[in-house]
Amino acid sequence: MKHPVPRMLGMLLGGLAVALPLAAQQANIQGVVRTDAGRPVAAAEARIEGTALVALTDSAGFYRLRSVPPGPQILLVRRIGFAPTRLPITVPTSGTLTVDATLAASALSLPDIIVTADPISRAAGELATASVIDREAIAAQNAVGIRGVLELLPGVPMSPPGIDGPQQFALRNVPSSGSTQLTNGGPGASDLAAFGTQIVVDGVPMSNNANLQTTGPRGEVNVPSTAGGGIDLRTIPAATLERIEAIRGVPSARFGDLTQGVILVETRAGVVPPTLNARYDPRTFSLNAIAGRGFGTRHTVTGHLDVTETRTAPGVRNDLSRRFTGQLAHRATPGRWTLDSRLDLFRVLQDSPERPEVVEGRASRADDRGVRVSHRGRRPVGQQATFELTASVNHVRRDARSQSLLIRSALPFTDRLEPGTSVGKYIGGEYLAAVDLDGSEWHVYTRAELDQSFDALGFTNRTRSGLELRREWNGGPGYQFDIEFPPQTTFNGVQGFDRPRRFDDVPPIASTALYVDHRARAGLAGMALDVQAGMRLDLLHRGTAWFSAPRDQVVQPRVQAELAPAGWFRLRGGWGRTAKMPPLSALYPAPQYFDVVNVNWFTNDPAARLAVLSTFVDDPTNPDLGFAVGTKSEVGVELASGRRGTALAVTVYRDRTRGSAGLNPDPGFLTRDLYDFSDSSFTGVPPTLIEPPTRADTVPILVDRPANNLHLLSEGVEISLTLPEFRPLNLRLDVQGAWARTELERDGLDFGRVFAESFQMNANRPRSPYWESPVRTGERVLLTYRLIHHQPELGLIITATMQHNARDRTQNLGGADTLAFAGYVTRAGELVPVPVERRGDPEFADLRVARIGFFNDPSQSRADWMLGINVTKTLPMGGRLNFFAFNALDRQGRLAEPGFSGRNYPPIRYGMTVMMPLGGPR
Amino acid sequence: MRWCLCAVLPVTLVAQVRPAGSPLDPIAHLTIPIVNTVAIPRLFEPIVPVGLFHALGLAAGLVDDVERSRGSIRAHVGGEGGTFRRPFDPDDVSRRGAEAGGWRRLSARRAVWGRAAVQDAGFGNAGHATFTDPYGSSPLVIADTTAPRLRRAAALLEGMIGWRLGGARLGLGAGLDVREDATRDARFVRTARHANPALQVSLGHALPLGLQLVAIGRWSGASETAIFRTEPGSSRAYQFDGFDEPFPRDLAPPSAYLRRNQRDAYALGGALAGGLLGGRFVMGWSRTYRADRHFSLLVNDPPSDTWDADGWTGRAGYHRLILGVAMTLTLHADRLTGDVTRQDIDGVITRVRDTGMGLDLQARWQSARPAWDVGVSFGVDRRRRQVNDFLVRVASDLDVWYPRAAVAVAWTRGSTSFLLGAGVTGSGAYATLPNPTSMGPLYQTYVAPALSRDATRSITIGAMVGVRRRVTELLSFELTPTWQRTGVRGSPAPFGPDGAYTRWAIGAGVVVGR
Repeated sequence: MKHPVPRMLGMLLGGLAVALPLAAQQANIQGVVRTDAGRPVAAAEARIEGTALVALTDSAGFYRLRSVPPGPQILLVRRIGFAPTRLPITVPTSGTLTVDATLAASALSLPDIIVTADPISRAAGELATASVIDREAIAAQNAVGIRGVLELLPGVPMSPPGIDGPQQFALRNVPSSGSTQLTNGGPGASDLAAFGTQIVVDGVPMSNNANLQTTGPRGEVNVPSTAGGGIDLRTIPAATLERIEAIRGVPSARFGDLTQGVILVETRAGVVPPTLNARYDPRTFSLNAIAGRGFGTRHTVTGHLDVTETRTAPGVRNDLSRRFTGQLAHRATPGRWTLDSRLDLFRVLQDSPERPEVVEGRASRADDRGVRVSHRGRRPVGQQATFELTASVNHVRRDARSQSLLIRSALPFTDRLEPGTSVGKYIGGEYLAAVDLDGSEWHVYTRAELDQSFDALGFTNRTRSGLELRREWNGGPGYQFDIEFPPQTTFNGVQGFDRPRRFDDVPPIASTALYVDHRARAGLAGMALDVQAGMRLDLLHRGTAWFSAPRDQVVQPRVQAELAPAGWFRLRGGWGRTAKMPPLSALYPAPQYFDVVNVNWFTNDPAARLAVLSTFVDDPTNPDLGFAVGTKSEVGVELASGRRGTALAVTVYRDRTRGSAGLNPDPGFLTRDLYDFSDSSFTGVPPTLIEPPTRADTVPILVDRPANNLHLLSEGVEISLTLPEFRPLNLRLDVQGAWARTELERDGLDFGRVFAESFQMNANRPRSPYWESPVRTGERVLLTYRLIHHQPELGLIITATMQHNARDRTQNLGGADTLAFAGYVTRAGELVPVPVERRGDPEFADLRVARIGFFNDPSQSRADWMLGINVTKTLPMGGRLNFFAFNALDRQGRLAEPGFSGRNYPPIRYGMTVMMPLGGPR
Repeated sequence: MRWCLCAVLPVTLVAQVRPAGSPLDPIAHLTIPIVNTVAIPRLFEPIVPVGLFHALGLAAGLVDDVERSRGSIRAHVGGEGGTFRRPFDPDDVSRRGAEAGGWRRLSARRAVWGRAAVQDAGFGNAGHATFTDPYGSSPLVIADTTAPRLRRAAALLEGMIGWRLGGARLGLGAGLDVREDATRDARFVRTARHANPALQVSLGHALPLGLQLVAIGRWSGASETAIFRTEPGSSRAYQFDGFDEPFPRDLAPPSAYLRRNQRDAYALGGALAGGLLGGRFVMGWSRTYRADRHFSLLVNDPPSDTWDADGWTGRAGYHRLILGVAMTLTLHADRLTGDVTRQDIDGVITRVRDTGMGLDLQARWQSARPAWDVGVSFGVDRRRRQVNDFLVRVASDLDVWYPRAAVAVAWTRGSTSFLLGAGVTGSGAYATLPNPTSMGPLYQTYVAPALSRDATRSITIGAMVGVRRRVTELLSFELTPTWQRTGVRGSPAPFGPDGAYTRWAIGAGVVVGR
C-alpha cells in the first residue's frame, strides 16, 4: 500500500542530506546463536537496535537479517531465560556479514558483561546522543528506584539509596545558587530542568503540570512535594525496569512538552519467571515480586508488586517514607493488532511525625496515591507501515498535611474573602498553624501515529507522523487552613496573602501537537550517512478543550545527522527547538489578598480593641503566559571498536530555554483610608469609628504575577570512555566525565528586602531602589571512574565506582555595591530608572543602600572524591546476591575554608539485595 | 587461634571459615576479650594444611592451599549477658545474622576465597562507650554517662584471589566491614557508624628445597563517627586518654556533638613456607604501624587527639601426621607500643605497651571409614598491657595468662554425624594497678572496674554440640549450638565485678563441598 504524501515529505526531509549521489546499498547479516555451552538456541530474537529489522532463529539457531543499512549498528540477540547480548557490528554496503552470538543462561557468566550505561548506543528510532541502560546494568546498579539507575549517566552525582524524599531528575543541568529570594520564590535552575526533562513510561509521557501541592512563595509551613519540578521518581521502582534510554541530545519530533531531554522507560512485560527481590539495609527495606506468563498464543499477563520503606534517621527520628507500587501488564495479539495494556498503581507515603519532646507541633505527612491505565495498539498497514494508537488516563490523589507551632505578636487580622473594609480582630501569640493540600490530578493523553518505511533515492527511509492530545486538571479540595491560624509570615498581608483555595475551581489545560519525523540512511564507499529531521507543532489552547482557540503555539524544527567515515568513527550533530507548557499553577495562580490596616487600636483590654482592615484582591493571572521555548544543539564524535568493547564518545552541547514560567514582581499600590475614631481608653468598649475616612495614603505592593521570564542556559561537554578488558585480571575501566555550566536569568527587577522591610509601611519614605535581576550560575566538573572486576566462573562482578567532584562552583552575577541600583519605585508603584552616570548624585543618596541578602562572591567547594562498591554474585537456581556500599569509605567532605564553601558527603549506606527466581518461564 | 579475633566477636560478626591475617584481620590492634577463648576443635571443618593461606591468611598461598572447593551459607541467632563485664562492655546482647563464604579453585593457576555476612544486633545495655572496641590497645575512648538500648546493623564483605605465575605467586585481597549503631527509645540519642576497608597484597617466589618466600603488604583504614544528639535528653561525655580525669563535655540542647576517629594501619613483612621433617611449616613476620586521628568536627580540623603505634606480629605453624594423628602446632607473638598526644599539651601523655603471645597444639584423629573423629587441643596465651600515664604519673602493668584445654568427639552413622565438645580456659594475672582510692571519681567509675575485672582470676567453660546431615557427597546441613560462660574464680578484685558472663549461639547452615 502506498502513501504518497508522507513519502514525498520523507523525500523532502531526507533531501537535507542528499547532496551525495548515494546508491541503494544494503547487506544481509546472518549467523548462529548458541548457548555458552555451545548448543543452538531456537526462537531467539535477533534485532538491529533502533530499527524494525528483526528475525527469529530456527531450530539450528540460525538467523538471517536482510537489507540491513550499512555502517555501525548494534545487533541485539535475546531470548527468555537468557541474558540478552548486544554486539556492536559494522555492516558493509553489500554482501553478507556473518555474526555468531552466544547467549548465557546468566548475564553474570558473560565475559563482556555490561554493568554501565552504554555510551554509544541510541534510543530506539532516535539519532540523538543517548545512554542506554539495559536490564543487566539496571540489576547490577542495585538501585531502589529509577533515580539510582540514572546515576549511570555522565555528570550525575551519586546519591544515597532509598526513598527518603521526593526525587526529581534533570538532564544536563547543575544547580545554581539556591537563594529563593533571587527568583522571587519561583523555581530554581534544577526545578526548571527537572520540569523540562520528559519521562516517558511505556510510551506514555508522565506529567507533573497539574501538581499544585505547594504553599507558594509566601507559605511558611511547607509540605514535601515535587510541584514546580519533574515527576516524583520514587513511583518507579528499579526492579520493574526493563530498559532505560536517556536521550540527552535533541530528541525527535515525536517528543514534546520538554526542554532538557527525554528519558524513555520500558517496564518488564511478557513471559517473566516468577522472581522475588528483597533488599535490606539499615534504613531501607524492600520486597518486590514479578511474574509473567502466557495464556494461549495470543495473551501474556505480567504482574509486579513492590513494597519499600526507608527510615530517614533510625534511632533519631521516626520519619519514614513508604512506597507501594503494582503493575499489571497485558499483551494481546488479536488478528493483526498488537495490544499492550498497563494498569499501574502506586502509593508513596512520607511521614514525619511530631516529636513533642524536641520540637512541639512540627509534623508533616504527604500521601500520594495514583493509578494509570494505558493502552497501546499497533497494527500493520500494508507491507511497510504501522499504525499505533496510544491512550492513557493518569490520576494522582495527593493528600498532604503540615503543621508547625508559630509565634506571632498580636496583630490586626481579617478573614474577608471579598474586597472591602470590615472590622477585624487581633490574633497572635503561640498557635499551631496547619495546612492541608489535597490535590486530585488528572492527565489524559492520546497519540495516533503512522510509521512508514520505504526506500527512495538510495536511502532507507522511515517516516513517523502523529497527533497528540493532552488534557490535565486538578480536582482536589485544595489548599486549606484554618483562616484564624494562618501559616504565613505576617497577618496584615501587604506582601500578598493566600486564602484557602479549592483546586477544583482551577480550569484544565488542553494541548494539541502534530508532528512528522523522518529518518533517512544510506551508505557510500564505506561511509554511512544517517539523517533525522522533523517538525513539531505544539498548541496550548485558551479554553479547556482541544477545539478551543490556541493561546500559544510553537513550531519546533529538529534535525540530527550522523556521518560514519569508517566503521569505528562517527561524527554527529543536532539542532532543534523544543517547547514546554507552563504548569497549571502558573496559568491559573491563586488570587493574592492584600489586607491593609485602617485602624489599629490595641489596648490591654481585649474588649476595648478595634481593628479595621481593607481587603484588596488581585488576580495575578497572566493571559499572555505561554510556552517556554528551548533550543538544543550538540556536536559529537564517537570512536568504537566492536571487538574489544572499546568506545570513546565526546559530546559538546548547548541548551537554551527562554521564557520558562516564573514569578515577576509587579509593582503597584493600594489606597489606604485612614479614619478618626473616638478615644475609648479605660471604657472597656471599642472606640467608635467616624465615617467617612478623613484622609488616605498609599501602600506600595508587589504582585507576584506569573510570566515567561526565566531563561536557562546549560552548556557543557560529556565524555564517556570504555577501555578494553584487561583479560589476565578480568578488569575493565569505564570513565565518564562531564563539565556542565548553567545560567539562570530572570527578566524583571529585584526590589530587594528593603522594599518590604523599610519602604512599604513607611509613609515617610517616598521611594525605594530596585536592581536588575541577577544571573545565577552553577558549574560542575564530575568524573566517574568505574572499575569492574569480573569472575565468570564464579558469576561474580565487583564494581568500584569512584566519583571525583573536581569542581563545584556557584555564583550570582550582579551588582552588590551601593551604586548598583538601577532605579527606584515610588509609592504609587511608578518605576523610574536612574542612568549609571547619575547614581552618584546627591539627590539619590537615599537609594544608595546595601543590597541586603545578595552576594556575588563565588561559592566553590574543594575537589574531593568518594567511593561506592557493588558486588554481585550468582546464587543457585538463577538467583543473585548483591552487596552495596555507598560512600564505602565514609568520607565526610571538607569544612568551609577561606575562598571555599564546605562539602558534605552523605554518610555511608550499605546493604544487600537478593533476587531469587521461583521457577522457569511458563 | 588468636585471642584478638575472639575479642571482637561481641561487636563484629561471627567469623566462620576465616583465616587469621585475612584483609579484615585487625592490624596493630590488640584487645582483651570479655569471654576467654575456649578452643574446641571444629571437627565439622576439614583438616586444612598449614600453608600461607590457611595459617597466615595470605592470598598468594591460595593456589597451593586450596585443592577442593568448599562453601557454606549459615544463619545464626545468639546472645550474651551477665555481670562479669567492664563498664564499656555491652550487656544483654541479642544477635541474628547470616553469612556465606568459601574457597574455590578456579583453574590450575587461580583460586579464590571470600565471605559475606550481615548481622542485626540488639543491645539492652550498650555500655558507656560509643566507639566499637573500647578495650583495644588505644586508650582513646569516647564515652558518655548513658548506657542506652541500641541496635546495630552490620555487614561484611571480604575476598582474596591468588595466582600462580610460573614459580611466582601473586595474591590480592580486599574487604569492607561496615556498621551502623542507633539508640532505641532513648532520650539522649547517639548514633555511630563505622567503615573499615582493607587491602592485602602478597607476592611469593619459589626457592630451592620446596620453599616459598612471600612479601606481605597490608593496609586497613577505618573511619568511625559518633554523633550525639542532645534533644530531648542530655548527657555528659568524656574523652578518656589514660588514667587522668577526663575533661567533661556537657551535652545539652540544642547542641550536637560529633566525634570521629580516622585510622590508618599498615603491615609490611614476609613469610616463609616449606617442608620440614616430614611435615609442613609456615612462619610469617610483619612490622605493624597504626595511626588514629580523633576529630571533633570534619576531618580537616587539626586532630584533637592522636594515637600512634608501631610494633610487630609473628606467627608460625607446623603440621605433621604422626601415627595417623594430624598434629598442628601454632604459635603467635605480637608487640605494640603506642603513644597518645593531645592537641592542648605538648608531648606524649600516655604510652601503652601491649604484648601478646600464645601457643596452641591440636591433635586430630579420624578412623578409617571415618566413623569417629576425635580432636584435642591444649594451649596457653599470654597478654600483657603496660600503661604509663605521664600526666598523672601513674602506671599499670597487667600480665594475664590463659591456659586452656578442650576435647571434641564426632561420630558418624550413615549420613548423619554428631559432635560433642567441651573445653575449659582459665585466666590469672600478675597485676600492678593504681590504687583506685587515690584516683579521681571517673577513674573509679569507668577505669578501675575494667582493670580489676581483667586482673580477676576467672574460668571459662564452653560446650558445643552439633549435628550434620550429609545429603549428597558434596552437600550437607549442619546445626551447631555453642555455649560459653566466664565466671569469677575465687573473689573478685577490689572495684571489680562479680558473677559471670555467658554467651550462646545456635548456628544452622548448608555446606557445599568437602
